Amino acid sequence: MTPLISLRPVSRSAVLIALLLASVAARAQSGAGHDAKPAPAPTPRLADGTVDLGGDGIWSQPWITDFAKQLVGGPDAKVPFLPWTKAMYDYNAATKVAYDPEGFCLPPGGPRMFGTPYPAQFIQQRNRIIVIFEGGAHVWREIHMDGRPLPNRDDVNPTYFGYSVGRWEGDTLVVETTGFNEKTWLNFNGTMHTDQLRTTERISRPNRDTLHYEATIDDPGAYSKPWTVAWNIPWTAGAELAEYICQENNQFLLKLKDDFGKPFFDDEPVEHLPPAH
Amino acid sequence: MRSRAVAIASLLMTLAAGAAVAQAGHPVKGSWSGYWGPSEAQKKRILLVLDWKDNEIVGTINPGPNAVKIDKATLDVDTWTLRLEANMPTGAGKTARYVTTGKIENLGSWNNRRYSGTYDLGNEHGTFAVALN
Repeated sequence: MTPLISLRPVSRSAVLIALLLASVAARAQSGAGHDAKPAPAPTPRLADGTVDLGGDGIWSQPWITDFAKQLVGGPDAKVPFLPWTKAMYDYNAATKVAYDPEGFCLPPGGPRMFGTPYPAQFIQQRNRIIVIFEGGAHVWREIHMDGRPLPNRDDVNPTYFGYSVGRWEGDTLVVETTGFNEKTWLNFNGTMHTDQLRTTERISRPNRDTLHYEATIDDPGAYSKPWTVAWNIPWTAGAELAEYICQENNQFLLKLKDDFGKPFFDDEPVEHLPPAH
Repeated sequence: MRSRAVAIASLLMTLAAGAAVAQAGHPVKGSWSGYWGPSEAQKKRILLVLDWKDNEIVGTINPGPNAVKIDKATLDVDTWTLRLEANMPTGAGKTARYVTTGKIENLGSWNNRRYSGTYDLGNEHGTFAVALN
């Protein structure tokens, strides 16, 4: 049987390209408004008018690897390293961030949690907000919203996420946190901090599909002045958090060696003195 | 089968122990233990407790009844060379200047970070090596 249209492969490709171009041209002629992305849905609100940070879906957090690329303050903004944090940043780059605590399945801590590429959900209650994270050791944060003051850092047990109190400033959730331990990096690229770290996070939802996250890092033990980073987190409607257990089958740790070439967990004590010079 | 289970349990315990001592703040902060002496035959144990306070390195040698306060500490982060100074008791109510100069190595390790080099105690000269606990 003879096909109605018989074309050689090259001719068939040419026809397909022509059809595609014609389709694009036709759409362009039909007017820009026809194809324009619909405006995002407005910011959802609770019954009392407070911004609803939750809903039927998840926040699909991006992977923020380098806070230096997220700085607020214009193109001249820089991370105000102290000499030791700059030297450690360079060391971590030279060792290909092999010793990142998050690689050991420890919680990312602080602002890095919102830049770890696993989704999150907010659960808003009257006196507190809970943020649950799928990744970063399957952890959660508690933000006290009952008006209690932020304690002195020496009065709280140092933890990965510190002690957080929050308040609403208009439609922006402002969260202040102190009491961090020193077992985390600020970001994937090896930006360090001390237990003097205090963060102020400003979280808003300008429309249904966007969470704007901003964090000011104030750590006089590691930086010469406070500095601020920000990024947006998109909403994925209808999705749910999954179970993710970092510790399971972590092959990375089994192969990790230190700068001396020894397995990282080979805890050999110091027994011999170096030779005298 | 049993030996495999024991091996897995040992690995998990080792990983848990490593995680428990995770330390990622200032690289000199923590307690360090090891030895010092003019020769291998004359080595003595030493414990250093170092901290990073008000942007200065502070610390104590051998905390306890015979503790010695470190009165000067400088760190060159370009070479990770740490110099510690203290007035060390040498007996009969006398003290001598104790100065250690050495490099911090294996900075990323939580359980095998090293500080080693040479020391002077008055006229005595020797070497030391400590590891982060």
